[in-house]
Amino acid sequence: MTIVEKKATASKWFYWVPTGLFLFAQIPAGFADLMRVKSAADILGQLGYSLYLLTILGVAKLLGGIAILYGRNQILKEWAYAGFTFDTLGAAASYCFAHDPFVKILMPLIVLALVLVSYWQWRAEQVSSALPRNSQPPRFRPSLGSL
Amino acid sequence: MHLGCWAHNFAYRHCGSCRCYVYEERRGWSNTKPPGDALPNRLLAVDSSCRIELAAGALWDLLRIEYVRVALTHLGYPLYVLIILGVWRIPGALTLLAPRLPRLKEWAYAGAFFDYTGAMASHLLKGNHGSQWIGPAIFSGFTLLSWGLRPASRKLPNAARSSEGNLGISWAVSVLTVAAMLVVAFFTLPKGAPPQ
Repeated sequence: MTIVEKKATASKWFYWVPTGLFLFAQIPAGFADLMRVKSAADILGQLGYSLYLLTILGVAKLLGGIAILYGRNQILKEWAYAGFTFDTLGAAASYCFAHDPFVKILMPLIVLALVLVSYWQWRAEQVSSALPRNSQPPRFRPSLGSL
Repeated sequence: MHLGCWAHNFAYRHCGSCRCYVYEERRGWSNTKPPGDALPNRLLAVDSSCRIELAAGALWDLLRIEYVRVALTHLGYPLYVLIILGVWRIPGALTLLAPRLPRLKEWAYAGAFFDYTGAMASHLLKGNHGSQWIGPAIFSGFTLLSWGLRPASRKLPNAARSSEGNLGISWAVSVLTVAAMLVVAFFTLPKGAPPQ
């Protein structure tokens, strides 16, 4: 195994582990939302939302999970990452405004961190896959231009 | 110095309506738009209305006027959602107006689309009349139109390298436009509760 191949394998792991972790949290959560599981309904009720929001969130989570796993349509994947970011940030803000303990606020933020690591690795993969095979991949450096 | 077309925020060289001569490295002097790089004129109204809605909506939310309070309580949302939505909408509108930043624009379009479709779905699931969900439905359509019709210089992946007009002036115009939208929205705030 050359260094280039080793790096490619490592970056695949760095993509799939966070992606798997947050999808493992979000896709079952989407199903749970759609089935209106009691624990999800209770949390939403405490935050002051109506129950039908579960339907909206459940559908959105499942569609976002499909878009990220499918992965061929890059714009769709970009939108899915945006959606998961807004979702987790909104959840954290809601816990904040409802004066919940810090641990509860932290949970969506941990998921957000996984989403962002996965997004970062996906962007880096996009950059390096645009290069010819077996060339040394450059480091992905975010700049104003990459926005 | 050419500032770009007024209708496109002084950022683009051609919009098809300005017909002024501009210089481009590849094409030399010309007064016609390059193919596929501008919005047709009559779609500008659609394009700008969704940004105006974002800025006006942000002000309504952040001021917590009675109109949105009643509407939100009726839908069964807690009032702090107004802060979350209002805080997101101003940078969203600014991003859509500003030059370049194609990836950030993608996120802003996504946010606006989720916002409008979420509002529409809330009205539908609550079993409200058509007159109440038709507004968000129209605006989500406008967002998709504006997204699908954006000129090539604002699309991923080539936008980062595209040379647009004067960046500083175009940014200043964007910020001033958002400020003007906020001022206009402030003086035209709806009074009282929405019709049920």
